[in-house]
Parts: sequence; C-alpha cells; structure tokens
Amino acid sequence: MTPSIDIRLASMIRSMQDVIVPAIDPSNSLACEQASLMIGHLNLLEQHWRRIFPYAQVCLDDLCTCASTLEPDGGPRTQGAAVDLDTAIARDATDPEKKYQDCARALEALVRAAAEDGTPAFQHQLESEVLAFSQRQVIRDRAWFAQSGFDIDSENLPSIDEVISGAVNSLEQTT
Amino acid sequence: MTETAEATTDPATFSPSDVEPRIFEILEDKKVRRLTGPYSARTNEQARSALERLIAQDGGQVTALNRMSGGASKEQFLFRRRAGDDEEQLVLRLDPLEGIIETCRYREAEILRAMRGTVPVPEVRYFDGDGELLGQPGIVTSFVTGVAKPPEATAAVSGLRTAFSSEWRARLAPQFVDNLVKIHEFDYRNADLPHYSIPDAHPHQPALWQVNWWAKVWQDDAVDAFPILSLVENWLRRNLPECDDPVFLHGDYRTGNYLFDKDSGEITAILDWELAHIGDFHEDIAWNFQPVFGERDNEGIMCYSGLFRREELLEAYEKASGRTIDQKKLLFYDVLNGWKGAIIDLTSCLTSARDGNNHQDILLSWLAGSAHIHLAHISKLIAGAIKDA
Repeated sequence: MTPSIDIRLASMIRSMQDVIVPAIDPSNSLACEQASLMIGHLNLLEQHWRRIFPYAQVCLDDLCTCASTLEPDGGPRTQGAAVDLDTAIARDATDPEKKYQDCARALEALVRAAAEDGTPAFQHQLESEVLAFSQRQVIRDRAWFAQSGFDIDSENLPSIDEVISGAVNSLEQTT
Repeated sequence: MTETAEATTDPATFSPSDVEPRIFEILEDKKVRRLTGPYSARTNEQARSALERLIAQDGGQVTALNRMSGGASKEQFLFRRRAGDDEEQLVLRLDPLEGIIETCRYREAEILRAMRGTVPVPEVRYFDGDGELLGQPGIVTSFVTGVAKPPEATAAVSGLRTAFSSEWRARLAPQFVDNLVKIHEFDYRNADLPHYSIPDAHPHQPALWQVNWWAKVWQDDAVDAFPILSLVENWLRRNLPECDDPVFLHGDYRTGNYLFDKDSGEITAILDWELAHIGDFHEDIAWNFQPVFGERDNEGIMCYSGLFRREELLEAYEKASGRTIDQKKLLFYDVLNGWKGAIIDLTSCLTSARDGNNHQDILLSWLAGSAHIHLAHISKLIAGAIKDA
C-alpha cells in the first residue's frame, strides 16, 4: 500500500501544474482546457477517495430509513416493486455505493409503479417521503461536489466530513 | 414544417411516446451510432482534410485552421477559406459520436438560415447534415466577432456563472430581452423549417412533447437511479399546462450562448440553436431561472443569466413582448427545465464519458456534477408546489 494514494495523487497534481501544463502550446486550447480539468478532477479525487465508503453508507442509511417508512398499497405493479425494494434493502453488501444504487433503482421503480396503480394515499405518502429524502440527498451531493465551482451557495453547504457525521438532516436547502 | 395529427385532448390518455417526430428519430439513431465508438478528438489535419472534401465543391482551399476553445457538444474549428482572391474566416461545428445533447444539424442549419434578419446569427456557408463528406454531421458558418463574457469577468466552463458588473448588465440586459422577444415573434409557420413540427394537435401538446422528449432520454440513457427524477416526471404529467399560441423557442437562451462586442456592448450573435423547437414562451424565460446559469450580484441577490433579478426579467419581457406571464405556467417550465438539465447531466454527460464517445469526456464528466444543483432546485420547487396545492 506504500506509496499511499494520497502521495500518488499529490504527485500527479504537482506534475500537471509544474511540468505538463507549462509545456502545453497555449494555442492548443483543447489541451489547455483538458489539462485544467484534469487537475480539477485529481483535486476532487484526492478529497473523495478516502471518504467514499462512509459517504455512501450515510446516503444508503438515509435511503433505507426512507424506504422503511413506506406502506405500499396498490395494484400488482406497486406490490411487485415494493417487494423488489425490500429485497434490495435486505441484501447483504460489502460495497455501500453499489447497494445505494441498487436500492435507489428499486425506489425509483416503485415511484413509477405507484403512479400506475398505487392507491392515492400511498402515492401521497411516497411523494412526501421521496421528496424529503431527495432534499437531504441533494445537500449531501452538492457538498460532495462543492469544490467543482458550479454551486453559487457552496459557502452555505456542510463540509463532506459534516455530511458523513450525519449533520445534514438538520440543514435547510439554501437555493 | 410538419403538421401533427389530431390527438386526444384528455390528459389522462396522453401517450408517453408522443414526441416530436424528428427528435424521436435522432434519439433512436443515437442508440445504434454510439455502439461504433470510441471517438477520438479530430486532429487539425483530419479536420482540414474533411473540410477540403466539403469545400472542394466551390474550389476553395482551407488555411489557418485551429481548434476553438469551448464546445461541450461539438468539435469546433476556426479556419480561412481561400478561393482565388476571395478569403473568409469560417467556423466548423462537427458532431462527435455522442455529445452532451443529441441534436440535429438539419434543424440547426434551417433555423440559422431562417433567423437571418430577425436576430443576429452566423451565416450558414456549408452544410453536411449526414456527414457524407465530413465523416460526421457538421455545419460551416461565418465567423462572428465578439466575446461571451467581459474580459475582466469570471465564469465557469460553458459560460456558466458569468459575473457581470452593473455597467455590463445595463448594456446587455435590454438587448437580451429584445432578441428573445424577436425570436418568439418569428413567423415560423411561414418559414422553411422542414425538420421541425408544430405541437398543435391539442393545447397540452407543447408541454407534453417536452416531457416525453426528456423522459425518453432518461429512460434510454440513465446510468444511475434518481427517484426524484421519476417523481418530478409524474408531477409534470399531472400538471401539463395548455398553450394556445406556440412560439419559436431558442431552447438554450442564456448567457454563454450569445456574443457581444467588448467595446460597444452590442450583441453580435445568438449561438447554440441546437435545442430550438416550437412551444410555450414561458419555457425560454424559465430556462434562465436555473441556478447554474445565475450568479449573485454585489448585494448577494441572485442574478439570472448574470443579468437580471427575477422580477426585472419578467417585467422587461412583458413590457417588450406585450405578453402576460402566467406564474403557474412559469413554475411548470421552471420545473421542466431543471428536470431536463439534470437529465442531460445524468445521461449523455455520463454515457459519453463512460463509452469514450466524445472529444471532451473529461469536461462532460466534470459537468455531470452540476446535476445536483438542478435536483436541489426542482426538489425545492416541487415541495413548494405540493405545499401550496
């Protein structure tokens, strides 16, 4: 494991900044732009790689909590999608990022199924719970990518470490 | 221009496959074409050879060719065409195998030609809609001088988050609105636009076509799941507004997609017509309300497209157009546009990068992270709409 990923990423960034970027022909705009983006991606990776598992676990836990509050009621499509969601949540997984995606896919399928044959009461509950979950998740995901510079309210977002500690549930959206 | 068939007027029976025909066609074509990748950025020499095949029709020569910066969806090259004593500077826009959005060069060429004399646009000089000579579909236009942001201003990639001073806002904002109104007043029914169709089978069709277009993109190309996107789609389908007077829409009308003279401040070209279509005028206005296109002014207030506070844009548009903005329709199109923005970021940006089918994979995978800003925007709007209902 030595040299560490941190040291190797830092070396790559320094190489890009100190040697490769200055050597690029300034008239080659595609190369100049992509070199800058390469540094940006490497900086984000440096921030992300050590935190991806705990980050994904926080997202997964919240999604599972959201799903556990649901009381599916409706026709065969809704009932079938609800069983699939239960199965995805119950599955053992060592990779929380993959399990989060599997569960999100099953929850999205339930949203689509309930629109077809869910009872009005369940549709209302599902919409309310998924919306509340999504509002928390977008804060987490904006914090995860805040360093990319797209977010005009990045200063009001929690840090990634605060996200991982679970502080997001008490935060309000700012945009 | 294609007239559409009569359709049901009962919203409960609207078909999810009722998409503008040409859009449906190009989305289906993409599924086949993407399998032929990966795609590599054209070298200058490859671009020059391709151009010479196209321009040979006129006996012209290609000189001084260089790649242009920007272009999240197209490869762009600046060059000079020389024929005898004639010489002109031109721009090639060439499709990669897959881009941030799937669009049609026929439509782009048709609207650029049709808009000449209505708003400032580059002139189409050569065209290869199927890529027979260029290798990929492409279009060659005149080169228009101008800048997309003041020299001293900051901006992110693709013109996002451009920060204008109050002086620049005063110069550009009135022109921005005037040009938008001219586009919306354009007489498309009498224009030569064979690759466009009019959504006039029933009053909900302008909104329905947009929902179905982007729902199809999501269904075809989603990489990771986002339950909120299906939830929003359901809300959009339940809240389709009527539109009795569809207008021509630019489809991506925002700062970053026009050029202006850095000395006089005059807007010299409206660019990036790839998403143009016919629909409800609220759609173009609400496109500017997406937070990724805005920036805060020096008082900390959100400035849409870096130029207007919300009410300023609405008042200026109403005054210039004589139209009345319907807040409910504006909300629908604000949600639709945020949903569309998120879908673009979470589909084509990722599939192009995943499959290596674009010359700017690294830019597209960078842009994809902005999806969460769209998702934050629409989840807040939907929560408010549900609370108010």
